[in-house]
Amino acid sequence: MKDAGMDNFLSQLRRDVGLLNPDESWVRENKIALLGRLRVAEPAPSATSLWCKIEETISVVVSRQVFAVARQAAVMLLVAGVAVGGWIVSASASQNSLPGEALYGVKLAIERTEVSVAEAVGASEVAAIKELDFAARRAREAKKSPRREQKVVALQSLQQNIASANKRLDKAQEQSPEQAASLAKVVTQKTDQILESLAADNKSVAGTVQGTAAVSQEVHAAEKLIEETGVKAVKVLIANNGDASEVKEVVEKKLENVAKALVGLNQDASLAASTSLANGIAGQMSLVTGTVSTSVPVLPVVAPALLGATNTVAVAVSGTAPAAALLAPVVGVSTTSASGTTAVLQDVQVIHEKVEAAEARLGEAKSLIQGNNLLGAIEKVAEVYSIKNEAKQVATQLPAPALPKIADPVTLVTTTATPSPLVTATGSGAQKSNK
Amino acid sequence: MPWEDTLLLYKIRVHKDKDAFGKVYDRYVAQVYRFVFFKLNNKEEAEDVVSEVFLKTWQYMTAQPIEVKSIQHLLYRIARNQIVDVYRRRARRPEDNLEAAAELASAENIEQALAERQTLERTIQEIKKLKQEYQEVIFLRYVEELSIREIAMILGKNGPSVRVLLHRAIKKLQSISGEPQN
Repeated sequence: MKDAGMDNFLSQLRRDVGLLNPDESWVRENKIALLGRLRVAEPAPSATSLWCKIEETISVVVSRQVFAVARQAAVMLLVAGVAVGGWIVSASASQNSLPGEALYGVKLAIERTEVSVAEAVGASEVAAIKELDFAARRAREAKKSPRREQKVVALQSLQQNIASANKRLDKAQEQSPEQAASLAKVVTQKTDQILESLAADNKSVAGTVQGTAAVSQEVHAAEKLIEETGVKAVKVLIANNGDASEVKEVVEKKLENVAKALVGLNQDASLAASTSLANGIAGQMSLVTGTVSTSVPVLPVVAPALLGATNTVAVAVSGTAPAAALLAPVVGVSTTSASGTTAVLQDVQVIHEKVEAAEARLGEAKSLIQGNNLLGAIEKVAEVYSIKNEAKQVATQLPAPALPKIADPVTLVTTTATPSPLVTATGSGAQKSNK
Repeated sequence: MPWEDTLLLYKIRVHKDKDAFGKVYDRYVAQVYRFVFFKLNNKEEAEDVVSEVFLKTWQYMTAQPIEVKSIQHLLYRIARNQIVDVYRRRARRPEDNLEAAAELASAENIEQALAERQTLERTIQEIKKLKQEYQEVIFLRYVEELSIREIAMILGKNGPSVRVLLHRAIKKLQSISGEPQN
C-alpha cells in the first residue's frame, strides 16, 4: 500500500469514527447513575487539617517528588522559627474550638478562605455546599458549648451561613439552571440534616435544653431560615424539571420530618400542661405545716381532673366550719397559682389547635403529592412550617416541665397542741393569721 | 494537562467534588467510549467497561497519596486494564451481530447506514489484524489525534518509542492491506 493510500485509509477511519460514538441517552443516564453511586458510596468528606488541604492543592500542580523536597525545607524553616522564639498557630487544633475560645477566629478564617477559593475558581455551587457544611458545624458547636453566649454566637453564625447558601442558590438559578438543580438536591439533603440535628438538641419545648429564652429564640430563627431554604431548593428542583420520582421522594421526606416535629410539639405541650398543674398543687401542699387544734378529721386535698380543670384547683374538705376555715385559705385556691396554671392551659390549648391545623395541611399536601402536584405540595409544606413555628413561639412561654420537690410533707395531727404560726384556734371560731 | 483539567483535579482531590467529576465525565466519556468500543467491538460491553472506568477513576483520584499527572492519561490507562480484563474473562457473544443489526434496522436511511457501517467495519477489520499495541497507537494517533507525548503517557512509553511503534504499525498495516486503499 502506498503512503497516499494509507493517508486515505486513515482519513476514512477518522471520518467514520463518529459511528463509534456512544448513544447520547446512554451517556446521560450513565452519568446520573454514576454520580448517584458516588453520592451514596462516598460519605461527606471528614474535616481535614489546613496542611492536608494545602498539600493536596500543591500536589495537583507540582510533582510529589518536588513537593516532598520543598516540604522538608519548609519543616526545617519552621523548626528554626520555633527555636528563635516565634509561635505557630495550629490550624488542626482550631478544628475543635468553640465560640469565644482562642482559636475560634482561626477556624472561621479557614472556612472563609475555603469559600473564597471556591468562588475565585468559579465554583459557586461548591461555595454554597461549603456554607451548608459550616452551618452544620455551627449546630454542633451550639450543642457542645456550655455557656449561653457561646450558643447564641454559634446559632447566629449558622443563620449567616444558611443565608449565604440561599443567595448562592439564587445566583445558580439565574446563571445555570442545570447547576442549580444539582445544587438544590444537595441543599435539600443538608438542610434536612441540620434541622434534625437542631431538633435533637432542642427537645424540650417548655424551656430549652440550653435553658434560656435567648437561645431558644435563636434556634427557632435558625430553623425557620433552614426550612425556607429547603423549600426554595425543592422549588428549584421542580422548576428545572428534575427527576419527578426523586423530587417526590424529597417532598415526602419533608412531610415525614415535619409530622414528627408536630408530634413532638404536641407531646411536649401536654407534658408542660400536666406538670404545671402538678406544680401548682404541690406548691400549695408544701405550705401546710404545723398542727391543727381540732379533732375533726381532715380529708386529703384532692385535685380533680388535672387536665380538665380550667379555672381553679378545687379542694374538698369536709368537717366542721372551723376546720374548713382553717384549711381553705392555706391549701385551697391561691390567686397567683390559679392564674398561672390557667395561662399555661390556655397556651397548651392554642398549641394543640395549631398542631391540628398543621396536620390538616399535611393531609392536603399528601393528596397533592398523590396527584403529582409537587409544587402545590411543597407550598403546603411551607404553610405547615409557618403554623408549626407559631405554635413553637407560644410554647416558648410554657414553664419547664420538671417537677419541683416538696420540701415539707403535709403533717396534720389531730391532737391538741400549741397554736401554729398560721392559725389560732380559739373557742368556737378560728381566726386567720395575718402572715 | 490543560488548565481546566488541573482545576477539576483540584476540586476532586481536595474536595471530593462529584460535580467536578461530572464535568470530567462530560469531557472524556465519548473519547473513552470510542477507544473501548474500538477494542471490544461490542456496544453493551463497551458501556459496562466505560462505566467501570469512570468509577475506578474516581476511586483512584480520591485515594491518597497517589499522584495523578493527567486525567486523560489516567482514564486511558484504566480503560486498557479493563479491556484486558474483558479479554480474559469473557468470550465474544454471538448476539453482538444481532444487536448491530437491530441498531441498523432502526436507522432512517438503512441503505446509507449500512454502507457507512460496512466501510467502518472494513477499516476496523484491517486494523484488527495488527497486534494490540499497533492497534492502539494507530487509533490514538489517527482517530483521537493525540500527540506523541500524550500517547507515550497512556502507553507507558517514551516519545521516541512511540514514534517507532507508530512507524512500524503503519508499515504492518500497509503490508496486511496489500492492495492500495485508494
